[in-house]
Amino acid sequence: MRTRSWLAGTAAVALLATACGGGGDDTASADGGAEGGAENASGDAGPQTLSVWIMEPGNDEVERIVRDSAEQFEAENEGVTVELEFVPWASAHDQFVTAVGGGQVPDVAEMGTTWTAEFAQLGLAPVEADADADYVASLVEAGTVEGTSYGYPWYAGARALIYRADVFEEHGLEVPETWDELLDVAETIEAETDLAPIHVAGNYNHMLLPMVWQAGGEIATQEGEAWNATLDSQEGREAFGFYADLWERGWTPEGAVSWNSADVRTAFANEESAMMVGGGWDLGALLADNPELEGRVGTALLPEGPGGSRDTFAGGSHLVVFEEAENPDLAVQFVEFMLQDEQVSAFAEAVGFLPGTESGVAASSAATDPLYEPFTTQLVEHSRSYPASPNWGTVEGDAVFVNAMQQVMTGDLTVDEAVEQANQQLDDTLNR
Amino acid sequence: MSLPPDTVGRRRAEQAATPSGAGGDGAARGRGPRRRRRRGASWRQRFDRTLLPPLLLAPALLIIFGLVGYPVLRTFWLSFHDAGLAAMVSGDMEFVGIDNYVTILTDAHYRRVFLVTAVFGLACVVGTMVLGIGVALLLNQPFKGRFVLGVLVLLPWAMPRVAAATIWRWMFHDQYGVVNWLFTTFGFSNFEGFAWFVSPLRAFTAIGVVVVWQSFPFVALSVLAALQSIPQDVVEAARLDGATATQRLRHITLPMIKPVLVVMVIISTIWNFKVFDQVFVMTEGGPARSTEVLSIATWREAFTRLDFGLASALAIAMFLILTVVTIVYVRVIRDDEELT
Repeated sequence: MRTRSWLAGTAAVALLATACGGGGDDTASADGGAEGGAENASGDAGPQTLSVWIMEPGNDEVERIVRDSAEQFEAENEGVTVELEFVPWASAHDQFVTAVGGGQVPDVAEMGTTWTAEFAQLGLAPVEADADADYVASLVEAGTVEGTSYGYPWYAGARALIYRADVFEEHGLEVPETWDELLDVAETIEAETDLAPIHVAGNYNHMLLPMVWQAGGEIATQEGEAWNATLDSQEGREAFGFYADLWERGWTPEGAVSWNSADVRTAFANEESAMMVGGGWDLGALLADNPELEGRVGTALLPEGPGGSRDTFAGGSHLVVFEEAENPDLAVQFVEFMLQDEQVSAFAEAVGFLPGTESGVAASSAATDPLYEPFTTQLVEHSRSYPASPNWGTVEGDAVFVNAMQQVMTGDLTVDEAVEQANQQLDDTLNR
Repeated sequence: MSLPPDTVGRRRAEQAATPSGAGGDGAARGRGPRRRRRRGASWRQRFDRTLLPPLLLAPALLIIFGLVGYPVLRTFWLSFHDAGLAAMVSGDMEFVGIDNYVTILTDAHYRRVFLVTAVFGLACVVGTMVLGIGVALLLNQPFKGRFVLGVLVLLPWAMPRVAAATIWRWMFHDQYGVVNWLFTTFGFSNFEGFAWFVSPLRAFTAIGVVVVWQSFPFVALSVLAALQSIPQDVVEAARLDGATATQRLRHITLPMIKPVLVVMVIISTIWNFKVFDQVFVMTEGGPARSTEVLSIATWREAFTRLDFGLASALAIAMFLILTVVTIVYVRVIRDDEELT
């Protein structure tokens, strides 16, 4: 009897704990960490606090640069305290959701460009027009919902082609300018070396999706309020087909169904492949970890697809100001401070990205380094952003494209079936 | 997320491990009549007996309700609403009745989610219990290096789950993972480049290994504590009466540690049905959502689809399933007790 009663009792408690572990999270942990400005925000008098969330770069150097900037801002604005909080990328989206749900948002935050549209409707302040701002166009586009932009472009990166210059030289190969040339070059590499020509990964949206643009298609187009998913266009099918073809040639190991961009980079760094699609940060990391590759790696713009385009995805971050910010003026002031050329280029360089302003890009060292120059050109001239729909976060969370491609790779779906499935899901989600 | 069950589990294990000490209510029962002997108790005594206990308990109950009751009730309430994030912020949620429940019961994907969760959870419970009991029986034997082994066994449990899962993901990497390297070194050449995360079966095998590896130490230690509390004279007596080792295990050891075993089964059922971190880190539900267990599906609804209504319905479903399972377990042990 005794056993039974405590058994039942403790079991019940454990169960209740279970329940709040599941769905209760939204309310239970709503404090998310934002403390908000405690002080009276009106006017300039007295001490003021600015809470700022920055993505945790996983790199002490970058963190130090951000802290230095914040301290400098504090020094320039007497009485202002900047409360910095570093949020890991992996849990950042959850934290923003929790913060918004619990009404405990920071004043200023760094936000992945593809999330800005989603959170715009949930309480971001519109960007205050600045005549001097020369933001990179694709980054502005990413944060613009119905004509109003909500994200200040901070830094960005675009992927380009990274290849083994030594291998290309040894076999007298030209850097591929088009998809067809890519396949030609690949066949030679396949025949004459023991390297795989190029690796594709199942979990790598940013290599797969831009191919739709390169083929001359669109991911989705907007007509008034509604979105029209267009992956199942001829061009969309061609893009998915090309990606699947690179896979079906068997150059990439079977396990790459679940690989992401980091795995592709690792394989390249281990001298297993001759070409990869990656960003400046990938190049920086692989040279830092594998000094023996120094001088043997080249970079180029992505090959043109049949649509005559080399477009790639401009990934990066916005700085955003929340509508509920305690002191909006101060918040905007801070953002503008962070976006000055010297602040932004120091930061962008340290993360291996490029500044979100064209003057910042021009001022960055990457613009003059031949190895990094293609990433600059790719960003400024050949980059785009994904549809700026408030529902894009859901599309990414549902891994719509990844799922479709993985099913093609495992042989569960044909390219056509996968494209139709992805298109249907995309259309449903964007218009829900 | 897991802390409450952990502490609960530890407390229960401690209680179970001391069968000789009479529990709280037993002792109270013993003292009760003696007190009541003095008839015509004063106001003060009546207050002490009837009003004081609830008064003393009230703060704790309030806190428990705030921490546990409110979220559960709120989740329950949300599950009947169309609660997107925007609606949550404005507080303007539409009542949709049982729509969310209809969705999770009729949608093919969610039916699959329930099925996978049940099968995977069950497999992990069996794995955890078998390994846990096995190791406990081993550690209960006197041998050299027992202490070292005991510490080693504890290590996986002490490790943060996300860190462990991240490391294991690398160990299962198709090209550079130590798991494939080990297999190929021992001559299983078809593990060369074996892709662990391309099919649900393979991925679940990898995840299951990590889950069991991290949850068996707790079971092993709790069972070990129970084993060591078995009075040696009983075992000795059985031995003198000629009982074999198997008979002693069946008729003495197992019945005596049964309460602990049942608690362990309940706890590991709860843990393994709501396993999240390992799946999230290792596959994030992929490839193509095939390893999406209930907890991942709930997370996806809430945090990427921002559909808190549906997420709440899933959480409540999990709650109900685990409640039913637990009631069944508790009944099993009660029926058994009446038999013995």
